Amino acid sequence: MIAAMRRVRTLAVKEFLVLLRDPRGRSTLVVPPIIQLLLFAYAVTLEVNNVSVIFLNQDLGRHGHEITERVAASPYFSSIAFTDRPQGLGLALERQEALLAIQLPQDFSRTIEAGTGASLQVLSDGRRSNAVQIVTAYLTEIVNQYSLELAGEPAGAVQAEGRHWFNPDLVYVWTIIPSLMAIITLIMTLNLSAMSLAREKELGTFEQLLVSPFSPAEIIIGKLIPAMILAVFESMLIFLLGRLLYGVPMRGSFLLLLASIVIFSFSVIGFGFFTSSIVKTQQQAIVGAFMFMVPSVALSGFAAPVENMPAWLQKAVILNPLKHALVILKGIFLKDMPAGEVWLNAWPLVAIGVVSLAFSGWLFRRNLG
Amino acid sequence: MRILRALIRKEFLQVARDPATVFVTLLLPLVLMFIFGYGVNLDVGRFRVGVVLEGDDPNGLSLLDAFGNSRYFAVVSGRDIRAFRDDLTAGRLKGLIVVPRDFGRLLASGHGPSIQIVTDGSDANTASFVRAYSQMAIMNWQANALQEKGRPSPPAIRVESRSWYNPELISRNFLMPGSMSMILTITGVILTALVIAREWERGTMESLMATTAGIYEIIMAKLLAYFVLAVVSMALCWGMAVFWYGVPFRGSLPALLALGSIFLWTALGQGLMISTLTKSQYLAAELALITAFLPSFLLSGVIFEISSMPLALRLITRLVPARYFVSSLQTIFLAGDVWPLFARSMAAMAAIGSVYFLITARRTVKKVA
Repeated sequence: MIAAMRRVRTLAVKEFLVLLRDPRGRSTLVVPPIIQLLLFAYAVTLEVNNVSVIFLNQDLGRHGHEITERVAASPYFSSIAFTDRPQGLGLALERQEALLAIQLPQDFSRTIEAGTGASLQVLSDGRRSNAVQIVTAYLTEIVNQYSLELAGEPAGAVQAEGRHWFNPDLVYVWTIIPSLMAIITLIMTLNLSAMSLAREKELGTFEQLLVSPFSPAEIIIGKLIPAMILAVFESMLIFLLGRLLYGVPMRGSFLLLLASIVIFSFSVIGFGFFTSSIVKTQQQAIVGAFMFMVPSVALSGFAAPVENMPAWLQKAVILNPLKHALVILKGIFLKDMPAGEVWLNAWPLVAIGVVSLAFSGWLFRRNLG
Repeated sequence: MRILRALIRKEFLQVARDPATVFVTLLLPLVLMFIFGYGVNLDVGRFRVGVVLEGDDPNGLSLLDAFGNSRYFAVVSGRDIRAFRDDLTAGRLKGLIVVPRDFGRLLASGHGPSIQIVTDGSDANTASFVRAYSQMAIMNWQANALQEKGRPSPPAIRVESRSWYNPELISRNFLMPGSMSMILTITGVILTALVIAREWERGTMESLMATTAGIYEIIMAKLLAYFVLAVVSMALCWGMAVFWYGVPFRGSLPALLALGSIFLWTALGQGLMISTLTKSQYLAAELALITAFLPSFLLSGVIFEISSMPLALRLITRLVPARYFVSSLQTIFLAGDVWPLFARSMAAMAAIGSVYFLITARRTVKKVA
C-alpha cells in the first residue's frame, strides 16, 4: 500500500515536471485564463443597450417630438437618426444601421388630443430577434409611461414593485464570473487530461509506462492528482481576479466552493482520460476534447436557459458536468447555497467521474493484455 | 504544377485515412447544428414562478389565474413567502409574486396596493425577463379588471410593432446561420492549425521541404485540401439549417459561396499562422481555441449583442472575422442579398486574412533561409 502510494507520488511529480518544464508550457497555464476572463467577462451579456434607432416623424404636433426626445434620453438608445422618406426606414434596417425604425404618422398628435387612440409603427430587424424583443419592451415602457402621464394615473392602480434577490442592481458580471470560472476550468483541465495519455502514445512513452511497475489504477491516479491540483489553481486564479477586479461577492462557504471545484474537475478529468484512452494521436485527442467541450458549453444554461430546451434534452443534460457546476458556483457565490443543496447538484458529477475513470481504467487494462 | 497536384493528392489521401479529420469535417457540423438547434433557444419560454397569496380575497385568486393562464409562466402557489425561499436559492423557481394580505381591501378603497415581484438575481438575464413579464401580466390583469367593471382603460398610444425578415421572432432563425460561422471556424482554423503543426512537430515538414516541392507549394496544397473540406461542411450546415430546421434562405447560393470563401481565407490564414508560430499541436490547439473559437462564439454577435459591450470590446470585435461573417450569414438567410453590407464584410474579412498570410510568409521565409 505504502509502495503503491510512493509510486503514485513519483508519477504525479513527473507529470508536474512535464507540465512546468518549459516556459511556454508554464505560461499557457496562466496567461490564457486571464485573457479569457478579461476579454469575455463583459462580452457575455444578453442585456441590450446602445441601440440604434431611426425615426420618420411625420407628425407636426408636440407629442411626436416629445416621444423622440424621450427615446433619445433613454440610456438604452444611443444613436438616434432621422429620415424624411419612408424608404429611409427600410434601407437603414436592411443595412443594419438601425435595429428599430419608428414611424410617427401625420395624425399622431391630433389623435392623441382627440382621445381616439394614436398609434406609432415600429419596424424592427428580425435578424436580431432577441435584441428586438428586449428593445421593443423598453420602447413600449417609454410610450406607456407617456400615455399614463397624459391620461393622469387612475386612482387605485396596482403598483408592481420589483426586487432582485442576491443581486439587487442586477450586475451582469456577478452572474458571468462564476460561470466563466467553471467554463475556463473546464477548458484547461479537459485539454490537459485529454492530451496527457495521447501525447505518451504518440511519443511512444506509453509502452514504457505499460512495462513499468505501475498498475493501471496507479497510472490513472498519478495523472489525476496533478490535473486536479491544476484545476484548483486555475479556479483560484479566476476567483481572485473576480473578487478583486470585478467585485463579485462571495456569500457562501469557501470550503464548499473548493470541494465543489475538486468534484467538478474530477468529472471533467474523467471525460478527458476517457477521450485519451480511446484515441491514438494528439490530434484526435484535441478533436475529442472539442467534441465534448462545445456541446457542454452550449447545453449548460450559460448561453440559453436549460428550461427552453425540449423535454428530452433537459433530461439528457444531467450528463453535462458544466450544467451542474454553473448551478453550484452561482449558488455558492451569490446565494450562500447550503451544503445539502450543493450535494443535490454534485452527486451526478461524482457519478460521471467514477464511471468514466473506471471505463478508461478498463480500456487501459485491455491495452495491457 | 505537377508537384502541386501530387501534393494535393497526398493531402486528400491523408485526410481520407484519418478518421478524426473526416469526423470533424463531416460529422461534427451535423452534430453541432443539432445541438445548437435544439439546445440554444433564446425564445422566451415558460418561467417557473411561485405566487404567494398572503390573504384570500377573490382579487388575489383572479390574479393567480391570470399568471396561470399566461404562456410565459408555470405557476406554483402558496401562502407564505418563507416556504418558497429555498426554492429560489436552489434555482427551482425563477421568481416570486407576492400579493399582500390587504390587497383586496386596498384595491376596493382605491389606495393602490402594491405587489412584490422577487426574482433570482443570480441569473441576471432571466431575472430581468421575469420582472418585465410579471409587470406586463399584472398590468394586463388590471386593465381587464377595469374593463369588466365598465371603466374604460385610459386612452393609450399603441405601439404597433412588426419585425422584418423574421416576423415571428424565432431565435433559431438567426442562431442557425450564426452557428455556421462557429463550425467553419472549427474546420478552418483549428483543424488547419493542428494539421500543419503536426508536420512541424514530427519533422515531416522538413522532409517535405527536402524534396523538389517548395514550401509555398506544400502549404498551398494543404490549404486547398482543407478549403475543400470546409466548403463541404458549410454545405452540410446549410442543408441542415434549410431542410431540417426550416430556416428561410432568401439570398443566393453564389453569394453564400463567395462570403464563405472569403471567410475561409481568413480562417485558413489564421490556422496557418498559429501553426507556424507555435509548431506544437498542444499550443496550436490552445491558441486556436482562445483566438479563434471563443471569439467566434462570444465576440461575433451570434448570441451576445455587440452593441451592448463596452467600447474597448466593441473595437476588439472589429478584428474578429466571425463578426462580419455572422451578420452576413444572418442577412443572406433572412433578408436576401444585400450587397452594400456584404461588400463591407468581405473587404474587412479579406483585409484581416491578408494580414495573417503576411505574418506567416515573413516567419516562414526566415525559417527557410
